[in-house]
Parts: sequence; C-alpha cells; structure tokens
Amino acid sequence: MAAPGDAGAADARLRRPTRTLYCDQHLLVHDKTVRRRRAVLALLVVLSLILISASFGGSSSGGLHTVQAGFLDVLSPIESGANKVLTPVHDLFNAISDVFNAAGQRDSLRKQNGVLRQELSLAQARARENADAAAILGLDKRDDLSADAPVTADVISGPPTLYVSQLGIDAGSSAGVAVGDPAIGDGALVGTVTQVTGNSAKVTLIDGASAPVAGMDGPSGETGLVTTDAGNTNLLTLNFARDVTKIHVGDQIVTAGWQATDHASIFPPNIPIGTVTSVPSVVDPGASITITPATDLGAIDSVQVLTRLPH
Amino acid sequence: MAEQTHVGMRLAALGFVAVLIQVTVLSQLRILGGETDLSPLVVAAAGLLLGAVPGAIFGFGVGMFVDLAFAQTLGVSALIFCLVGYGAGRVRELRAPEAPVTPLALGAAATAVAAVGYAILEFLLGVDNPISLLLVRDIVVTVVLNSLIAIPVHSVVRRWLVPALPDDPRRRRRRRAYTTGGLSPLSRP
Repeated sequence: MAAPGDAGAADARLRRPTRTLYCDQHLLVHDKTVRRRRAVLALLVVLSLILISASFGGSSSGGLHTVQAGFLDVLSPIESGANKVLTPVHDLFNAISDVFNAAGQRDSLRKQNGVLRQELSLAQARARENADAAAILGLDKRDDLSADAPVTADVISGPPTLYVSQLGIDAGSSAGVAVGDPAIGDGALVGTVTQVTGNSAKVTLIDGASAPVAGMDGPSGETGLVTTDAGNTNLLTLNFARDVTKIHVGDQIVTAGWQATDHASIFPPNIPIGTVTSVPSVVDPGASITITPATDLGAIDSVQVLTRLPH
Repeated sequence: MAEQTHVGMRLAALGFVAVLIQVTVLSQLRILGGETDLSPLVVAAAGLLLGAVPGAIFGFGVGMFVDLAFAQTLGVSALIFCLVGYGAGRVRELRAPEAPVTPLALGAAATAVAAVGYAILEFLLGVDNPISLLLVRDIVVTVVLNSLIAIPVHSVVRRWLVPALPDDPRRRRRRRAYTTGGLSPLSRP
C-alpha cells in the first residue's frame, strides 16, 4: 500500500512532460521541414502573383512581353519541327475522332447538301442576272483574295485552355504577317493575328476576339456587329441589326467589308463568318442573333493570313 | 547533391516534352468538345512521386513554360500548377496512398482544380467569358478524358523518375519480398 505522499509524487512525475533528446530533435527537424515547405509555397505563390500583376498590367512593349516574344521566337522552330514529326500521331487521333463523328456528320452534311443545291441553282440564276451590272460597277475586282497577298501558314499549336481561343501558326513578320491581319481557314473567317514574332504568330479566333467584326446577312443585306457569345466558346452573335425580321435561320453571315470600331481590323467583304442558328422570336431591336461559325474552329490545320490590308 | 541535380534534370526534360506534346498535338485535338490536358497530370504525378516541395517547384516551372509557350498572361498557369503539385505532394506525405486507382483519382482532381482555377483567375482578370453550361460540360469532358489517361501518364512519369530517386519505398518493399519470401525479417521465427 503506497502512502498518499508517494502517490502525489508519482502523479507529478507522470504530469511532467517527458523530454528526451531524440524527441526534441525529431520535433525540431519536423518543424524545420514544415517551415521550409510553407516558405517555398509562399515564395512561389507570391512570385506568381507578381508575374501576373506585371504581365497583365504591363504594356505590350514591356520587358516581360519582350521576354515572352523572344521565348516564342526560340520555341517556334522547335514547335514547328515537333509538329511535323508528330503529324502521324495527330492524324491517328483525328482519324479516331472522325470515326466517332462520321455518322452524325454524314446526316448533317446530307441535309446541308440538299439545301446548298437549292441555293446554288438560285444563286446561279441571280449571278447571271447580276453579272452585267457588277461588271459595270467594277465589283468583280474582288473575285479572289490574291490582291490581299495571302500567306499560307500551318497551325502549330491549338488553344491552350478552354478559356483562350488562340492558334499558333508558323508564319511571322519575316513572311509579312502583322498584328491585325485577318486569318482565313477552310474558306471562312477564322480570326485576327494578335501577336507576331519573326517566324510565328498567334491568331485569336473569332469566338474569342475582343473586337467586333462588321457582318452582313447574305440574303437580305442587313448589317450588324458580330461578337463572341459570352460563355459559349463555339458560338457568335450578330447585334445591332436594323431589321431582325429580315434575317432567318440558315442565312449565311459574311463580312461587310468595313471597320466595326476604331480598334477592330478591316476584313475583306463577302468572307463567310457563319450560319444563323437562332433568331429572337420577339421583334426587339436590341436582340442578338446566334451564329455558328462557318468552319470548325477546333479542327483547323492551316490558315491564310491576308497581309495587304489597311489597319 | 548529384542525385538532386539528376532528378532536376529529369524533371526539366519531362516538363519540356510534356508541354511540347501538349502544344503540338493535344491542344489541337478536340474529343466530344473537350481536350486532354497533359500538364496537370504530369505535375500531379511528379508531386505524388516526389513530395510537396519538389511538386510545387516542378508545377511552377511547367506553368511558366505553358504561359510562355502559349503567350498567355505570365504567372497564371504557374500559380495553378504550383498549387496542383503542392497538393499532390501533400497527399503523398499525409496519406502515402498505395491504391492502384490513386493516380486516376488524383489526375481527375488535379484536372478539375486546374480548370476551375483557370476559370476563377480569368474571371478575376476580367476576361469576358463567364461560366456557362457549355463551359461546364467542356470541363467535365476534359476531366473524364484526363482520368482515362491518368494511369498511363503516371506510369510513364514514374518509369522516368524512379531511376533517379534515392529511395523508393515500393521498390524497397519489393526487394524485401524477393529476399525474404514476402515476410519482414522481424516476423520470422
């Protein structure tokens, strides 16, 4: 039977923290590791935020953008080479994707083919009627785009994220490409050149462009501004049309040939932009008309950059 | 020190090749509206194999390379991938996951974090592209596609990095299993 005094002493011993050399060292090393880990993370996060602030707020001729342009200059030949080497892989993936999409595309194209045949016969009849008048007015000067000095370029990189509609091409300032030049792909408007280096350039696609494009409804001649449909990366909208009742689903929207705003590019007239897919049911001058781009912006392999247009 | 340099060089080569494949091939392939994004998978795999600090540093490097290669706002991808690498490394340090589906789950989580992180940062930077149902669908498709390739990507990253690592617990256990018939020497009578 232990005396009460002995029991109190034993309790006191138990309550005393057991401090051994091994435990202290272990805790010390652990604390140091945790502090180091947190410090590295904090440093990287702060560095990222500084870079974002500097890059986002800086001018296009600033130091960071110069570094970025220099890096792109160095990387573009590697990108171009890798793109050529990996073309079989690219084609294989595309072939697999095509197999899955073939049935749907076939049905859609059959319907489209029927509509186009009707339109073709109508257009041929109108073309015969208009040929003489057009010749008189001198409108037949714009039969093709050769006057705009098109530069053909291969696509070497696609959109980096779901939020950026941008393509990389293997032609740059050395080929005459400049910021603001329109890019055409598969016979339709694709976008505008927004960044240029010596041997490469970045094309911002029309579904991600910040500047509007002056568009015109093919059948009715109604004009408006074509802008991106916020949140829907594969759609466009036609705004500010004077009489939306003249525009119908299935109509072709083409470039109007005039500059939409001071900062927008000038596009040659009559380049297809897309097809009207929905028109507001209620007559509203401010209502938007939805357009599906004429070309699949996610499957462009090469583009033509029109280099001889006024900016 | 030599081992660290060796690992660093292998990581640099891995990041370079991964971003190059992303730029030249994967960014041009759209499947069901989405696209595979190799970068978060590679960063998550490296973080899972190496730990939080190397994962964060590797993620930052890959992100910087992506920002430079795609001419984006510098630092956006660096910030996101740095956090992805750190998170994957912490999963390894806290849970030491051994399940075969860990790379798949972590790859899906890393892709989702990267996609949502981009959305938030782009929104904060004032890009006029708010979240829509279409975008949510594209994000879901990308997460699913990345989940499908997460295990092969992890396997490739593991094969590339393991020879440079000083100590791999799984390799050690396999060696012990081979020499002791699967039993720890302590458990033998």
